[in-house]
Amino acid sequence: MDRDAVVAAVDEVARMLRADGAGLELREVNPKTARIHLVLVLESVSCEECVLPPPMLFETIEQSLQRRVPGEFELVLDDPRTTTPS
Amino acid sequence: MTLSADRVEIPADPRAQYELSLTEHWGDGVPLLPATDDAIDALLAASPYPADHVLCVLPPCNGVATVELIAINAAMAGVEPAAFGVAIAALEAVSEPEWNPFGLTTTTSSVFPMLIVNGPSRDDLGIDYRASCMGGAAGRGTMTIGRAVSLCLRNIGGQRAGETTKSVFGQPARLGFCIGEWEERSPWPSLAERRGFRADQDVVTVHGGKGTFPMADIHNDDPRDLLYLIAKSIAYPLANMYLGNPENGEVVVAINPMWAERFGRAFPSVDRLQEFLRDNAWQPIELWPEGNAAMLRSRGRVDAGGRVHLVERPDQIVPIVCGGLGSLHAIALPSFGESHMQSRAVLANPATQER
Amino acid sequence: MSADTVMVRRPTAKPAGEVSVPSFVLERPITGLTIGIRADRAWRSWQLISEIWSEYLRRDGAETIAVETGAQMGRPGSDDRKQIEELASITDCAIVGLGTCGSCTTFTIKDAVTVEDHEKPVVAIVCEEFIVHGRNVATHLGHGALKILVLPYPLEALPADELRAIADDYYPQVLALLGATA
Repeated sequence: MDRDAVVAAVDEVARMLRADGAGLELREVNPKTARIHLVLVLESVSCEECVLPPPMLFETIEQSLQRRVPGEFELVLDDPRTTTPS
Repeated sequence: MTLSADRVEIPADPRAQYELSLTEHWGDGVPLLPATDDAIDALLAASPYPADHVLCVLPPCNGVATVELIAINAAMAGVEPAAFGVAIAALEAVSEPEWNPFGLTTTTSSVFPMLIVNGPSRDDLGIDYRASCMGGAAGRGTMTIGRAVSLCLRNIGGQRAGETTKSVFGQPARLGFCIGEWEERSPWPSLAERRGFRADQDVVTVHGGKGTFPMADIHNDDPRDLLYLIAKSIAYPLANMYLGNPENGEVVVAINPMWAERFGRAFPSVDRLQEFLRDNAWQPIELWPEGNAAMLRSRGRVDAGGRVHLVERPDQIVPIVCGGLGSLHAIALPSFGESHMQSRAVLANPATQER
Repeated sequence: MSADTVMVRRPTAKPAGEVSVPSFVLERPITGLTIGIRADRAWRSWQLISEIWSEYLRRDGAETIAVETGAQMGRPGSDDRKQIEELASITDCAIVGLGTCGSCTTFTIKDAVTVEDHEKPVVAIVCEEFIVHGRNVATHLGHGALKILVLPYPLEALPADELRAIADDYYPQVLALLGATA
């Protein structure tokens, strides 16, 4: 799993979220477990509902990763708007 | 290096080589690579044993397996030098009396050595343990090491379908079966660690498996429910383990990483998981027609509650974690019964070891 | 070697069994002898046939010792092999069955070989479908001359009266292979 490819994919979505004041933090890229762990940061957001809804956000990040990262991976997204991580 | 096996001049054309492998009965029907001295020497250089070292005697024809002969067959299979030690260790395991090589190489059953590899070299050796690890992932180690073992049983042991082996169906694993465990996604100690090895050792465990038995569920996320269903599935009424001694043999249950995570939360201890599986891997005696039921009763297989347990002990159900992230599936590797899985640490030539 | 050829090494090993030990025969009547019979927990058909033969052997003046095996390894397998060793040492000859599957034929032959290693007459009982396999196993164990009696196949699901008929038909043959005289 190419960390640079993961970072590029995450940055692509993060740029989009910055417009709403949100951020995406890359917590872990683990090629041994094939796990990519991200945290959605909403501290500077005035309108949480304006940020992409959780399922859409997850799908958008996943698709961005799938375009750049070959093979299977497990995406874990800590979204404070949901009670459990996706 | 001085090799002692007969030299044979063969056509350089790969297609002609393939035809020759069929007429000479050197192969399994799939194209082979030529076992040139260079290829053999490269493998021998990676072995901790000299070429004339007798590793074992392989049934059914009790052919003497020198390391040279094993290297010749490994060269034909395309094993790379770094992986040769895995093939050697696997053959040591196969030849252990408790694996029951004589029984397993001659039976009417479809049983064949199924290799499970643990340790830090899995990725470097191309041993598949993620998506499609049991067929389709195409890792070089997975596709060549198991095949080398199979060719050795054929060419050194003399295992020939319909002649020296009575296997009614054979199975796809007879072309070679070699997978790894996805240790990093397992909530429990690895198979090798549970069998007494260190996490930093490369270990191959050889299981006498009858094939791959698929199980699927798309409706239930509850770990206990899923494990209950797995237990009932592996205790299918025509399982070999009802035919012999209940204390012999193991069933491997390959669990996908997503289910493993769920099962690990419910059963942090693998011992408790195995107990749960064992306690639920039974069928009621009424399931069998009377002729079969009578035999089960005569062998003391029916408990006071009318249950016929698949195995006697929890450790006979062996969970491993592997497979892709798509969830939904588990696979059992059912047992021949009269065989105990054997594990060996992989040794390399110290002169060539880099770590 | 030409440009159109390449040198490779032969990947095969010679099968064992070029040298074969002799087998043994009674060359006397069975009266007063102790004859071992090895049955197998897996096969009802052989349990019945061996019980009938045991009865006939006792009728004809021999004593019989019956043992039952069924395991190939582990503690049960080790116990079974010890039973066979003991049987081989305390009996004058033995009848060992039944080879009616791949691995059980292998172990029938192996156990018969144990008796023959004690220089005692022995007959291995193998069903027709597995005779080639049985002969191969005997040869590769260095006992190519082992006496094998071939029974019909399949046997297991035959009704009791047909099994009794087979027991009657083949009893004289097992005595002949043991080398029993009148």
